[in-house]
Amino acid sequence: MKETQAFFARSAALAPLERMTRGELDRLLIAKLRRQLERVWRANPFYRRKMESAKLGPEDIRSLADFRRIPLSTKEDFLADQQAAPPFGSRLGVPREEVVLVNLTGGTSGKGQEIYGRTQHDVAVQGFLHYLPWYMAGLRPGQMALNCVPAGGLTTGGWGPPEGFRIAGATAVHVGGALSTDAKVDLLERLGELHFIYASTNYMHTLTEAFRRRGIRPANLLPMMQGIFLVAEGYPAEWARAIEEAWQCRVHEGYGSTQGAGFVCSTCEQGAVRADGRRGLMHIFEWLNYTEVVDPETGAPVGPGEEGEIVLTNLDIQGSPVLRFSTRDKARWFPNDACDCRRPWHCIEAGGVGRYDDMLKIRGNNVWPLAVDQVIFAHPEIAEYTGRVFVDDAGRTEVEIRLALKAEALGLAASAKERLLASIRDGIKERTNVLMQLREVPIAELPQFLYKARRWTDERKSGYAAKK
Amino acid sequence: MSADDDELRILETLRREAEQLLASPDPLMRSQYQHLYGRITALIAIKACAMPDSAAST
Repeated sequence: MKETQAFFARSAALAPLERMTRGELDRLLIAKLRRQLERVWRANPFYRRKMESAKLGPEDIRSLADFRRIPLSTKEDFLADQQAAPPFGSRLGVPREEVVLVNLTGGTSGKGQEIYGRTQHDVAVQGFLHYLPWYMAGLRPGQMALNCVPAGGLTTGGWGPPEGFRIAGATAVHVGGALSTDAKVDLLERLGELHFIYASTNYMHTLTEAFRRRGIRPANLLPMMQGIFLVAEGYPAEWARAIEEAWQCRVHEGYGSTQGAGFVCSTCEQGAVRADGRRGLMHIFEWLNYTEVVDPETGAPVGPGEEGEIVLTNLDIQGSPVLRFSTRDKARWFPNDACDCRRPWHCIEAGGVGRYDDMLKIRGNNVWPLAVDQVIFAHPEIAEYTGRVFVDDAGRTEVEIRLALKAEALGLAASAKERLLASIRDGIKERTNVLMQLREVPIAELPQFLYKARRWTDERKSGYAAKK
Repeated sequence: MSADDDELRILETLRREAEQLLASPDPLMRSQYQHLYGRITALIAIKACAMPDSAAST
């Protein structure tokens, strides 16, 4: 398998950031935080009020510990501010006429959409915050790059990638949402050249399966592939290894958001799974987004290997910047020295970023869909699944998992299928403490996810309502 | 002076020059100059990000 092109010290702009000591990086962060705080104090009434409520001014912030005294800001704060001062709220921070792009968050929480106004400067920074992780993953000018994430629309995830590919000088092909999976494979056969794929975890799975159904090994058709960059969802390490095997190139991952104005962190040349089989580490671009991982109960920074909530502060965004934004994203934090690459940037673990608010409470157990994904897709016979939480006739909470097998596994003997389902059932029980009902269905009965998979439905509220 | 410092100095010169274009009376060109100016300030932010002194002032 081809190794990711080493970039250590290749970029004069990056080299100082890669080589500085952790103490030097912390001093840089404090200087940049002070500058951003002075900006928002002058031009951003929302954050000025937030700081005043804590009796803090920019001059009071002399250390990272001082900075953590600023109260968190939340989605609910932003929605209330937008309602009081529509449409951008009092947190816009730049003259309205300087806004050249409106980004909205997805609204999948059901609470409402945050609105962000971005300036010309911000759009260029957003592009860089996509280009930088892809550069780290080996993307270089002139290379053919397949963007499988739908471009445009309202989110930063739709606008950032085209901007990132443009400034990378890559030959971008924006197929996300524009072509069916089969049409994408047709196009790749026609182009006969591809170096880089940007896709959601789930869609990378779908695309690879489409090649498999045609009997084409991706690495044979596209032997020049340099890297695959995943976004949006977690995955088992075994699955990432299988994708690397099929495509014969390194799998990388980045974590980003509209609040982060692009990618907040990404894997280094070691990729999403390290040589010894451990999960890779995503290195945080701290000098662009100061990123804390905190205990959501106490607000204290978590220790090495512990899980916590990601809290973001933009350092180079002018329009609608965020300051100590509570993302509700859950990640496992590691200090910079946990990775062999020796960069001074702290890390979060690849493959495991989840949400605090998609947790399902089932029979007293906290169940993360990601945990179920990891058990199911560690079994290479499985193509896709959906999960449904419902209330049965006896009023008990039950969980039904509908699984579809890959074409090559359809011919398994009944006893082998039984063993497979038992292995998955036991694995889920072990991870979640919940015994779930498993049922095999044809692949056509399951929805096809083009971007973020929405595999789970919770029918308990409607189930109880129907009994009234 | 390093090549890195030279690049930053050139970007600062470009920013000052581009700032003058923002006052153009031609509305067709003015928005494109604003686009250019935004690109330059973003490049300065990216380029200067390893330098605490620059970070404090840019």
